[in-house]
Amino acid sequence: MAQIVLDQLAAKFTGGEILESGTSHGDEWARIRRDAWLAVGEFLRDDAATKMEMFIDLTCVDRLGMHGGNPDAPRFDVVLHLYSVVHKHRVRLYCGVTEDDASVDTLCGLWPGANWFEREAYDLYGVRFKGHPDLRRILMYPEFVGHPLRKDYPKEKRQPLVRRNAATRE
Amino acid sequence: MSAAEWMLSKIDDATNWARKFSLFQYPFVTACCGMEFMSVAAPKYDIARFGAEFPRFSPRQADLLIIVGTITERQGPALRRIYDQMCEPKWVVAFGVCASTGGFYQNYSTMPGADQVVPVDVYIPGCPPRPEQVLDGLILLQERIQRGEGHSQITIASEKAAKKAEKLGQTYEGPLVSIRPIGEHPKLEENKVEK
Amino acid sequence: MTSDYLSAALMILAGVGFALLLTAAAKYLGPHRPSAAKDYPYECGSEVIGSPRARFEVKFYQVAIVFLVFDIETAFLYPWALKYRELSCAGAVAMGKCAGGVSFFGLGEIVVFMGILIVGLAYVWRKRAIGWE
Repeated sequence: MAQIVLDQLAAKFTGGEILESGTSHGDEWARIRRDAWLAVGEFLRDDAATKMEMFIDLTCVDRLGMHGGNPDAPRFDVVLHLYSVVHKHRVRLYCGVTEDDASVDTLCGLWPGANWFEREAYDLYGVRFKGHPDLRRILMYPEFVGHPLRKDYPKEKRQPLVRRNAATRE
Repeated sequence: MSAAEWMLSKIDDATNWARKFSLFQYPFVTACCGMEFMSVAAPKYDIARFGAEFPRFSPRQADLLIIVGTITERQGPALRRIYDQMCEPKWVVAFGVCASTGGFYQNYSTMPGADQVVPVDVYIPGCPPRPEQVLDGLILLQERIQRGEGHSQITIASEKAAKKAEKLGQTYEGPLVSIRPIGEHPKLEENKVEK
Repeated sequence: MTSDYLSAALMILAGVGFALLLTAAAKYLGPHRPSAAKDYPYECGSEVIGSPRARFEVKFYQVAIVFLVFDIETAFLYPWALKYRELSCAGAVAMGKCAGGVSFFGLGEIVVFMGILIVGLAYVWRKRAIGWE
């Protein structure tokens, strides 16, 4: 259904920026090289055949322990969903991000709606977005230490913010 | 006991009776339990029968803080401040398991029960509790109010008794009170982040 | 006549007395524990942002003033309306039967009164002080 998107991408980006692409359960997806993230986004938004001017979602996946033995595979996947209201097709884009340099370009300049989604990805996974106007925590409180949705964050660890003096009745 | 004390205790009983049947609630609703709270307030399971009719969304006008739903760590200071801004005597009801003990959540953001930041008088378990259960909890609270066993009631009574004992030069043996200079706000114990 | 005023006075006394009774009960039966948190403004538990002293739009004041003026004009119309019949009967009231007629004095008086105020209304209308924006 959205094969046109993948075709346009393959036609435009011939230098290996599209690492993989395919169709999965009815959705088209493509894996983008990190340095081409912004260029691919801009192309998809502006090209007449794809016209994906609607930003749907940006999130992150921690693939720690899921690579089946490939030590060089990037740890995080930044996942972007785009939609075109004009052509009514969608696409999912993946961008692998390594743990040592967990950063990728921000998409706030292309779609202003990406602002809070990128803040959430930073807050919960620790992926930084280069050029983001206001990259700070959004769901956790500022004194929180760590990034809770990473797979190596202990899932029952508590970081209490305030507690009352339980020895009194106040 | 002397006649004066008897009369005062009768006045106390009358005051507690008036208080228990005219609770002004502050429903601090955060999550799904709010639906059951609305059911309880609606005509079928009418909470107004028990006097707790008006939801007052201001701590200045409320004396019953009903904590409905999950409390996150981030909400802790806000909840505590709201509790502090209420006038005595005040009571707190933890509505639902999330407010009682954290519920089925045991994670990085949920506070394990609202009693980590405010003293709770009655816990109403349930996920969400049936309206009949809520009314049962309310009746339990009313009985405690009548007997003067709410946390703030005991605090006030012990402060009064401690002041009286001090005036008479005796030491006060009673429930632990927070005797602090009038005008000073009780400090919260702020835990350091666990490593 | 006296008994009417007496019952009204008792009513007022009872109302005021009840309010004072409740205030006294709250003051002497209730606990008194002031604290710094209780003096802090209520902002649903969070810190206060900005000042409550915001400027009001002048349209509220304009509407209030115009309403006040014309409401008082209406209040003045009532006694005129009650006395108009007497005016229009001239000397024939004492006979118990009043044929009615037009009292030019009464009519002229009210037309002058309302005319002045209508000029004012026209001015306010033209100056767009009545509208909401």
